[in-house]
Amino acid sequence: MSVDPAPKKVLIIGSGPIVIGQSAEFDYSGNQAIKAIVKEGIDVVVANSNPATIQTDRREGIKPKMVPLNEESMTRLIDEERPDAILGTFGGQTGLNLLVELWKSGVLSSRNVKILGTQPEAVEISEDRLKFKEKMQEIGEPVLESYYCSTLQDSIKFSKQIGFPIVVRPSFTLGGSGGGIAHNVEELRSIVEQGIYLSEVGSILIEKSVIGWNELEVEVVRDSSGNKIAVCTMENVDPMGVHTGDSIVVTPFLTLNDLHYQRIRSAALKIAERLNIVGSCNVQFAFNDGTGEYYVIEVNPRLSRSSALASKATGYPIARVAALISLGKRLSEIENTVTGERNAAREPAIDYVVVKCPVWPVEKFPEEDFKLGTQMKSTGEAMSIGKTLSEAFRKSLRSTGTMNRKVTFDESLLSIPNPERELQIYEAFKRGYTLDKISSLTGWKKLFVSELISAFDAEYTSSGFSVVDTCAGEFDVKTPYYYSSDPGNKIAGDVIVLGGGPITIGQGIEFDYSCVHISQRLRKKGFRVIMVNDNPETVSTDFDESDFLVFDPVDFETVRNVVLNSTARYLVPWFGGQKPINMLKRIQQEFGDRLKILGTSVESIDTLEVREKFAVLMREMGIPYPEYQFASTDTFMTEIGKLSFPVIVRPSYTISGAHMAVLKSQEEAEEYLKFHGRFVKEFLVEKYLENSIEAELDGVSDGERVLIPGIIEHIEEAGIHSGDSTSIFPSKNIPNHIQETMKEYTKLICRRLGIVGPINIQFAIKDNIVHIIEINPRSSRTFPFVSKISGINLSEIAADVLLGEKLTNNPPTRELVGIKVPIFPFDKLKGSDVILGPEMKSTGEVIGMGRDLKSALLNGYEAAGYDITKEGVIISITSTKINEFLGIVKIINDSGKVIYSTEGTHDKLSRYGINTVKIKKIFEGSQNPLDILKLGNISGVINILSENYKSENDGKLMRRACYERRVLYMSTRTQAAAFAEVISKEFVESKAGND
Amino acid sequence: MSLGRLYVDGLGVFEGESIGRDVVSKGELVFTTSPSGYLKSITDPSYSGQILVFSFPFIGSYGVGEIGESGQPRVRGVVVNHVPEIMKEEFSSYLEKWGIPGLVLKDTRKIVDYIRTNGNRLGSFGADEFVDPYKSNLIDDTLDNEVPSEGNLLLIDLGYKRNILKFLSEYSVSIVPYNRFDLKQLERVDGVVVSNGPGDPTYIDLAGFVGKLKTVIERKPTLGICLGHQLISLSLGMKTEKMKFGHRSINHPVEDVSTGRIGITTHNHGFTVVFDSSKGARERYRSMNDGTNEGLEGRNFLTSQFHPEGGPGPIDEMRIFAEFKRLMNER
Repeated sequence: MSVDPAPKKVLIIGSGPIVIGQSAEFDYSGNQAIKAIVKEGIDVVVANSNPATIQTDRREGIKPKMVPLNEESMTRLIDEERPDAILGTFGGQTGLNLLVELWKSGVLSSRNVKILGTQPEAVEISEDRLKFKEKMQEIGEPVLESYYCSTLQDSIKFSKQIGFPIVVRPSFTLGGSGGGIAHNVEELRSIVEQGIYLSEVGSILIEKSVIGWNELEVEVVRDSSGNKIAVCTMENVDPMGVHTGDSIVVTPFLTLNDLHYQRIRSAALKIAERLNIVGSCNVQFAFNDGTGEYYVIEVNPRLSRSSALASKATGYPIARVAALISLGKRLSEIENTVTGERNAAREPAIDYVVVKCPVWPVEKFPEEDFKLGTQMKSTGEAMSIGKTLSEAFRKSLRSTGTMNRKVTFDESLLSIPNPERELQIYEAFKRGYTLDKISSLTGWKKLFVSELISAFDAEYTSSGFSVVDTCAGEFDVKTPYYYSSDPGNKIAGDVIVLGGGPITIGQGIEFDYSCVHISQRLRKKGFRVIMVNDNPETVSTDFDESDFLVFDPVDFETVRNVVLNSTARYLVPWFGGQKPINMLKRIQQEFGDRLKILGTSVESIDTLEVREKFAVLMREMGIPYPEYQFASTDTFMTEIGKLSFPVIVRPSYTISGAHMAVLKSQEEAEEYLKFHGRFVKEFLVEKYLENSIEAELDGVSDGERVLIPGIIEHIEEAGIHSGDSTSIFPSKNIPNHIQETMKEYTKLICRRLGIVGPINIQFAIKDNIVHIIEINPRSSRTFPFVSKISGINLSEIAADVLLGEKLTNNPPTRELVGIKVPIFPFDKLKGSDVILGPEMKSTGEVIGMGRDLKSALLNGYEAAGYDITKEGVIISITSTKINEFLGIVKIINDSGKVIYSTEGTHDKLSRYGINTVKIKKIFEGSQNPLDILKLGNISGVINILSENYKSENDGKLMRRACYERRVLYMSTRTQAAAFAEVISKEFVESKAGND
Repeated sequence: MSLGRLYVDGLGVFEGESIGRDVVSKGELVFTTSPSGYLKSITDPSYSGQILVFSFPFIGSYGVGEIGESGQPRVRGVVVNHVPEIMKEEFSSYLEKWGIPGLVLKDTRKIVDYIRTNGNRLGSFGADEFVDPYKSNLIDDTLDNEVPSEGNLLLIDLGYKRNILKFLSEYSVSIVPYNRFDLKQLERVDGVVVSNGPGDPTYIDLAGFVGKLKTVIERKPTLGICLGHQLISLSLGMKTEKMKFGHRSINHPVEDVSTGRIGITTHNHGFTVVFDSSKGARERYRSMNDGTNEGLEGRNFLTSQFHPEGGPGPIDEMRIFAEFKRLMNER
């Protein structure tokens, strides 16, 4: 038992932006831990650069610090805040790595900051594969034959001893970045080179492959006295070889007999014991059910995606318990919050089956090969609960949209794990493939194949709800949660709040943030909230964030079950993103008489969502908007002729970015049609407002007045999806009268349509004319960003308005500037071009805040991982545009940076007295920009391509190289201007003066 | 699919899909929340006289190939929420082979809730009449008629679970049914294990045996498991009582009172020992769920109400076997 006095102030490290491999689960885990710690009377400081998080909300006893997550920034924070303890196991791999860095560098010991929970020594053993292997051998747990290599030569040598196939795993990376399976020396070569590069310590592990074995996970909680339980067992439906984040997973183990079940459970507990875990860990195994053999694959000595899933699947709040354990409590002293007993030592029992199903951004990255392997590629997941496996599968298929998707059957896709494998399996079955055959092709157990097929075929009705209670009915419970089932019981409740479901690109954590606030506010006003969501990674699905949590897909079937089997009379659909909005019409039609949709009318929604109606409205109101036409392949050229070039063209009524393009001439249009017309039959063609500035605003309307905290200005020009734009709030460069016009339009529209609740409007400003591009009558992605900077909680105000309150005067906003920098998944999706366009590609964002724009930008760049203090800048600007950039280049030159430029740019700049280092173009050979980037001293690349530039390849190579080296890549003037401003001599000096 | 009926005393009749043998069968309704080892539960002699309801809804998922806790099913019937389609035939045939009725019933939770609220009740397959199993000898049917061999460890069989033997593998174990046990058999052994078994520990047929146990624990290092623990407690003069609905799961935390450490253990008992510190034993284990006694420690004996051998379930507290060994070595 801990004899140290309890800490007074604890610093918790968050996980930063949402990326593949690190999603909302760490906001959930961190937030749950924070709630538990604050309740013990201890102050908490939260460090996280991600504004779209509940954990960075300012609350009693909690001080959020939205700072970059790196060693320097954390050291500054520790000096400022003087915490006496730190927790690094709640912020994913980012938090853990940072904790180890701070520990190694002596920052913590020199400042007397005590590390709570699992100690860094144990973390190191789990993270360093060689140490891990030694430890496992020491305690008699089997590990795979493997070798640690830091050179290609070594790995080739050892590969001969192990034999192919071989798995390559880099040490210390996020989400298994850069790993892979090599079947021959050639493959080994390329995977190893990349792995060594991506590893923070420049090393990789090559090991014997157990592809095809059963992959198992156990979630363990252990206190400092050595008491430990296995909270949850998880069996991967996809065999070894597919990253567990990309695997379909069932809970509990379903195909293991008791002997094997206990063998794995016992091994997990033993490992937690011998690693001296204090808190929680996840242990992964490869298991051969023919022989009963197993290998320990890895241990995550922290909260994880799996721990979030295990918590939600069992009702056992692992993060809360782990936090209290970190403070020195024993399992027997911690309350089971679901049953209300002081007994967190009981292993949860469940009387249902759980399926976790990932979702992939397949539509957003048409170039990407979504073959599943050791590199995780999914962005989010749905968790489904059913009495039977097929019932749970069915809910997963509903949630991930698989039920509505069609595939072309291809037998070869059965043996290659891929995102559409469920459909391929079903198609194979319909074509007469036996279960045995499908099982042997896919590596799925026959049981799983059979249950999946019946999930497609069977109809499941529900007549109410069953409970998640941690004990399968053995004890009385206080705060259970619910899932639809038949038979089922009725629940109470007043208001249904629809959540956002699995996280995908464009449907992210930001919506969950708003849902949580809405729920809190409605409850405060005395309403019993029924939260509907099936995303296990979120705060909204934490058991105490609503009165009745319904853990089911966010779809019409679920709404029907809730309406028919609860006492709810109101619906709030505005905070779960686009998903809930899409079913409003149907909800209104079927349940309009018994369920009131709070806020904006369904008719008004329709006006905004249907393109033709929207256009009529804009015309009637005299508000400019981009002209558009619908076209078929036959009418394509004539319809385009009605608009003037350039235009944006996208396939009509599909959500595929695959065939989206900006066309600038008749020739390009013809070329486009020739190629894409083979795949797409209907198009929406829209006037493209070239070189315009894009902006948006978030507000809350009561039908009369509209609260608008300010305008969000995008650094990238229009044509790049708003979610992918670096954004400034409040706008600093858009003239006041233009900002006023935007606000005025917003008020007119809100009054005209009777908008009650949240609203988001996107604008393009060209030649001082404000165009409305899009109106979203719902909470938007930027709600948390705007709320955090302005200090006005938009979701709360929206809740009040929905309940019929009227807006009063605009509350005062804080004098802060914020910048939101998007974060992209290109490191995980290697086949994709690092280019931005009308289709959103970012998975998350970081925030930079400051008293003025420059310091905000500086913080934002730092938080996003760009080091703009490095001495070099590469500049390549097409000759026709160079004049526009002279001022910018001059500032960069004056700042003392070394400028490298390609021939044309070099010559032109030297004529203006700007000296640069002349380098070659990529195809001209060595000493080209790629080589310069490798030197590692580059802070930014300005690459302005000619409009008729045909050799897109150079740009593509450059973008990817910059992305992988975390060098700021700028392709527009506004981006370059912002960069120049931040590095300007004047600014750097003023910063120095401030410090 | 044929229709089956389960009558529940005080709750009414449940209709579901009949699996296994379609026979009239009566017993006490109990439930387990264990998700694994369904075959071990079904064959556990401690379930004799009982109709077992599985809380976990997905039973039969890995077939019936698992090694049981005895040679055949011991339950009087099985109630499950669901059996996976491709396993149904196999599972049903297994029950059929041994003459055990089964029912697939969507409403298992209702029965579990009823038992939790009202305590264990009687149930009956196929007939609206009930029989209290505790009024008959439940043990004798489960006993193997093995000829006692010349071992150095005596296992007194009251319906022992096969998994116990796994933890005694370093000894030569001779198994003797409780009703053929003779104090003379103690002479040639180093220690005695008193096994688990079904029924009420105060059942009349056990009285003579309990009388002998007082001598057993005086003369030989003794380990009592489950019923064995209860009988040793009775022999010391403690009392047992019937619990509301007992402990029957594999996730129960017990505290080792001597160290404060917690282990997760398998339970299968409807009766509990009322611990009395004046009777010559210390309380060694206590349930973290309801505080009931889970084991004793005396000068020469150790007992556990839980199943240190798992089967199904964890073996977190298997160290009791090592301690028992130490007791024997100390002699």
